[in-house]
Amino acid sequence: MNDAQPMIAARNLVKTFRDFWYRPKVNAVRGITFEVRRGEVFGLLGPNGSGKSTTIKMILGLLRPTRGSLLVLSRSPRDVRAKARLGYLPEETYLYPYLTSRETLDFYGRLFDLSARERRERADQLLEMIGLQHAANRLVGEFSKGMARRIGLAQALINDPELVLLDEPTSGLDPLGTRQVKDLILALARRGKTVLLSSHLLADVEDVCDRVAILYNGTIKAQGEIGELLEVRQQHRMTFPDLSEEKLEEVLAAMERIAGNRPTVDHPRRDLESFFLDVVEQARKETGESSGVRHSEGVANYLSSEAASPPAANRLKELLTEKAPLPSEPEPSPEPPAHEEAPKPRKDLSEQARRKLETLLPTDADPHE
Amino acid sequence: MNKIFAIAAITVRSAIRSRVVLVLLGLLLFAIVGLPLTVEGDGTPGGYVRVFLTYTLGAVSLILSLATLWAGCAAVADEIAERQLQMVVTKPVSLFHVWLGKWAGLMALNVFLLAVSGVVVGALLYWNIDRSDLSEADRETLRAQVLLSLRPHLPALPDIEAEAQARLPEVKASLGPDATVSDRELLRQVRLMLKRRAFTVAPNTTVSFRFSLPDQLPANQPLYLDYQFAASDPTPTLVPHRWRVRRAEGDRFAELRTEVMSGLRHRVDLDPAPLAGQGPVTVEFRNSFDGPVSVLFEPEDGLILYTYAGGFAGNLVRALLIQLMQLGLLAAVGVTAGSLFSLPVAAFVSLFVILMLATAPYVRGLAEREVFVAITEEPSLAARAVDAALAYSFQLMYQTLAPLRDMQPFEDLSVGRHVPWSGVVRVFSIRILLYSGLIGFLGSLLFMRREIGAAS
Ligand SMILES: Nc1ncnc2c1ncn2[C@@H]1O[C@H](COP(=O)(O)OP(=O)(O)O)[C@@H](O)[C@H]1O
Ligand SMILES: [Mg+2]
Repeated sequence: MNDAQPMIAARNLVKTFRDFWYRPKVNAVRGITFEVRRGEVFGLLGPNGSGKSTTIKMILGLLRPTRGSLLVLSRSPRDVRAKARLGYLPEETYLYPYLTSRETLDFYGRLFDLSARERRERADQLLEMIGLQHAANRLVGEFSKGMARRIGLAQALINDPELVLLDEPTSGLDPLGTRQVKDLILALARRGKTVLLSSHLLADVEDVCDRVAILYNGTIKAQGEIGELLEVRQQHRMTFPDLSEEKLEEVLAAMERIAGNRPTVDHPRRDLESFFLDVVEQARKETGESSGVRHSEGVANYLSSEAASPPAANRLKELLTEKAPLPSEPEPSPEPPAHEEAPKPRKDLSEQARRKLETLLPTDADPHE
Repeated sequence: MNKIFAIAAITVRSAIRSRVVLVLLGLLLFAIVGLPLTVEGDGTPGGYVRVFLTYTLGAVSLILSLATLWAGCAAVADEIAERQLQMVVTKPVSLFHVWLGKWAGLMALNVFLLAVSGVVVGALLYWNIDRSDLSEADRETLRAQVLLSLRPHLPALPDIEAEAQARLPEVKASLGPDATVSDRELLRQVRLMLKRRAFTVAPNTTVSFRFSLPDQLPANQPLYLDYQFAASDPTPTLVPHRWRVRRAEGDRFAELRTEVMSGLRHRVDLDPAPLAGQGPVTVEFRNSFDGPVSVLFEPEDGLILYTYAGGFAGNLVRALLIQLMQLGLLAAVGVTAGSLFSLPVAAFVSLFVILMLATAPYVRGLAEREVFVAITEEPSLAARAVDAALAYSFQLMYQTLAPLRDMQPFEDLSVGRHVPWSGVVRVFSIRILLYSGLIGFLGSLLFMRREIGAAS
């Protein structure tokens, strides 16, 4: 498969749910066309019930399209060969309650015909990555929603997939987990994976997606590069270090002279997420170990990298790394857990742009019409 | 293969960890240990063994059948409803793998539970006999005559076909021109008559029967004739008679004179040593009644020669294997129903299927009938069409169900009758390879039509 071919190509995709008597009941997806290209992070953004999960399930062959054409990795969605290269996290994590974390990952690994050694190594790395290595032998039936979610995420990556489909990956996760998942998605993207994620959370999409399609009531209302969609071309924004009253007055006067009208001034605000992460980090320094989810060391190493750049450690890692008191380190692997540049601050958007995104996205969706 | 094994393994693991297996095991042990306490045999040692085995093993089969059916339905239906299957089938796994994996998992559990039950039943039986207040002689009789496996042999049927064909015109003529009996039915009656005649012994005459037996007949092991006849004299009476047995043409006959009541089963023990050799064994029966009384052996079971075929343990194992095959079919029905319907619906559908299977003996009667609604002298065309359709459906149903007629391996086991390997193989090929395979194949095809993602 060459690079030019899209990973997912949907044309005029329609899904109508029928009732027992085969009468149309819900038009969940009403003729959507989109492509997901190799190596990009594509976001399906839309309010609840807008057809995101339905679309993803059609891509996975879990639902049959009523009309339209759909190719996944250039094959039919029901083709087993396509499935071997996919990873999927459903919108809720449906695990076997009587298996432990490790057995769960082992089971899914076996469905890909991985060898016992591979399964063990990957399970170790994934458990470490999702911060549940200490719960490796606990039954997943006893897990909290967020913990189950992490297992769900790990199983989606067990086969080192080329294409990862994540249905509301951050649902059920705490802000820390949310940040980790987003960093994971970025790390996957840097390794050349293609990611399609759905969300109704604007921040999720904004932080990680290269392109988005905004879905409302089963139709795509807007689609394109996130930067282009959100840029407010009519205005400019400048950021200064803290200035004294007089200096600020001078700058404003100069600007008024040049531009003809006086710009507005306020202090930039941090977003709540980064503030929260700082608070938690502070608390960790003070109290030490937590009994819940622990912090991971980045991305599982076996996840192959197709990008030229070395695998990235994430920002969070630098912020929040805590060394688990492990007696022995896992055996060295070809790609040592690298320390390198923090990811470029992506798509930090203005309040105005955020508002624009919100106007694109009506809040009350009712597809049952 | 690995995938099927993986699915089977988590099925087993879940069943163990959810304590289903433990509960079943408890139930089985309770049935095995507790149930026999509540029943009395017919007073004879053999009767006790028979009741013990049929009760305990019958209870084990019933419990495991219901559990298998239910677990089979739940195995897939639950995972669709609780959506675990959505994660499984997005892996490179076909629904056929899922079907087979679930079936194999259930069968692994059944193997385990049946094996435990078999061991406990066997051990308990021997222990019960040892500590019972039976005399040493009675115990010896039990071990020598009941706790082993005896192969039944029926006498060879004389060739009656040519005669039946020859007699047909004569019989037909005797009925007169108005008779409404079909030729087929008439021929059946003639054959039956001739067969019975071959098993009828007139007073002061001798009839000889031929049995094909194995060349070697182990010494010190039972070899006996088991027989029952009806007398033409309606008042029950002692019938004196003489048995003579030999193998090779020139041998001397072993001879026994006795008199027994008609209408009851009797037993004549034979010495195996002089009967070793090749070719059929000849058994002569002489009716020595002094008067006009003939005796008749039922062709199907009036005269049976039992030879030793092995020990009790082997027979128990084979009987359990046959039971396992029956459970295999139930598991196939359950898993298929669970793949196609939600749990309660699946349970009812599979129960319905099982009831259909159980009707096989009754369908046989229906399949032989040709007239259902056209009972008037001049039936209408419609009535005859309905009849033809009904007859055809019952035929079809019978042909489908006949190979599945209920096997009673524990019935045989409990009276020491041999459960042959050939029976195990036959049940395996019919129930597992043919019927379970067919159900699984068709079920998987329909299963693939389902939208797993639309669980509601
Ligand atoms: N199995 C189903 N049967 C009937 N309607 C469904 C089914 N699944 C989803 N729907 C309907 O389709 C619409 C889109 O649902 P979904 O794709 O789950 O939305 P989203 O994931 O964007 O929240 C909703 O109106 C939902 O009620
Ligand atoms: Mg959804």
